[in-house]
Amino acid sequence: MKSNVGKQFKDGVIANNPVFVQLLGMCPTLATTTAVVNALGMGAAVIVVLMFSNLFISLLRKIIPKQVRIASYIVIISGFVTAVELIIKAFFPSIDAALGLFIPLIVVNCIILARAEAFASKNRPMPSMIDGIATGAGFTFALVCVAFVRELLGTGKIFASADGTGGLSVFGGGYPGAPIFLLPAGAFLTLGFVIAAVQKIASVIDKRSQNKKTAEASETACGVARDLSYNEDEDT
Amino acid sequence: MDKKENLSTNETSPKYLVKLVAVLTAISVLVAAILAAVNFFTKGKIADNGSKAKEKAVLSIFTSGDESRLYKKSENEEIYLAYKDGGILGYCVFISSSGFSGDIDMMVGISSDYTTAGVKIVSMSETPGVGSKTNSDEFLSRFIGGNHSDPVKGCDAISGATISSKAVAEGVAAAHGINIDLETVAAEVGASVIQNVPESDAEETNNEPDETESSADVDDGEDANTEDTTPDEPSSENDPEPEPPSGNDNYVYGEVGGDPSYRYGRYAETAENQYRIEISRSEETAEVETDDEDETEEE
Repeated sequence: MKSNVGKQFKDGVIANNPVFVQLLGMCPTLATTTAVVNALGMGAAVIVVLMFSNLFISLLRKIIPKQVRIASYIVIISGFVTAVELIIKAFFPSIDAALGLFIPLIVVNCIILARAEAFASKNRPMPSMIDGIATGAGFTFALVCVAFVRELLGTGKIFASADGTGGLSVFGGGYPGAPIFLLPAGAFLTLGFVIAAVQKIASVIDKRSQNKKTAEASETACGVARDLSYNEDEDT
Repeated sequence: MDKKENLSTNETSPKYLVKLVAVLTAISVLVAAILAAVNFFTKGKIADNGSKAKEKAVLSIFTSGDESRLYKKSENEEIYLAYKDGGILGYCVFISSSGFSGDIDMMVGISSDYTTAGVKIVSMSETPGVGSKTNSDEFLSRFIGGNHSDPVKGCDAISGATISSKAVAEGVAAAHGINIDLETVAAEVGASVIQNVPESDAEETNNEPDETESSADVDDGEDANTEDTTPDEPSSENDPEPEPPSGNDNYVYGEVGGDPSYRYGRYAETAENQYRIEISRSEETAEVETDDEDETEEE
């Protein structure tokens, strides 16, 4: 709970990555990762929303009564999402055209409500804001990882702009593209393999530095997250 | 977890209940104020972006043009004029046609000889790799040259993307269904019409009947300028109605032939056709399969 910026970032991006470890926010992860540019746009929008919603919720945490806290959080979050949506529409129309409906849908992105409930409502404004940025960075990192694979295999190009033009051709002009990777099925496949790869890498690193305290901390964090998701599955 | 701890004694007191409402209201008002401010600063810019994208689409159809202006915008039609050195090259109709997943917004350019100058898709959400193939120059250029009485020219759909191809064709047909008389429009905005220079002799002969048609329109327009305000209604008089010859059967896609149940109307306007199109959509996969079977049987 201490305002240790480095630890917060490590936690948000690696140890408790919202997508790879907590498996939160799957909807935008699957839907907006057809191109790296889209992933970056979505990630930036989420970082801004998380930062401001965490800050406001943290500032208001002693005023908001427990009984109406979820309603209050949602009002605050949706306010910031709408503001971000308007700003994107005004200044980045091509990103708006590519992401479309998924910007307003950030309101129901469970990462944001989860951080509000789990962190911002219990911590002071500065650490809450940093937590928002760290978690958002982790989300963006995950989106870019998935989008990189999907765009590369799906179109043979990388870093194409949001309207599909430009980009760095990796496999040459003769590559016909594998549209499956741009379709939902490819999103699930890619996400599964990317999560598996990340977990493997994480476990290898864990084994190498088993004696170090930091590794233990991240492992228990992973364990808690897995237990949580397991319980959720059982409920449904 | 925290809920049980918070079941404090004062929870049901009226004062506390009022506090709940007051806090939530205050937060809502605060957020609304922030949103109002953001909306105030971005409203103009967003409207600008929308019209800029459309104007860009108009100029990408009329590549020789140097300016495009909104001519008319009503609930069901939005028409842009393309200018070159102050003269009118043609007009563009902005149209939404419902595709396989969501609307396809497109700009249909019609040049001064009332043939299709080009089609540009402004936004679509069709399946990547399948329906999105309709947004290619290769496909969209097939519509170039279509006229009021035969807007789609029976050009082929993209295989696997029947619904999306049909949606684009419907949009093109609907754009031709809107009757615009460029001469009267030009008189209205105070500009002259630049006649389309045909690219080849063959095209010139094709265009001739259209030109006589347009000159007839001019006469009508000069007689009664009141007609300008509602260019759609006199369409029944001026133009021998592009729709009714809905020689639906003429606009068959691909080589499906034979069974009339595989022929769908190209025009979104008439209720009957809309019904047909909906049916075809709901049974999309089934339809494609039967199409294929049919073809193999014929072979």
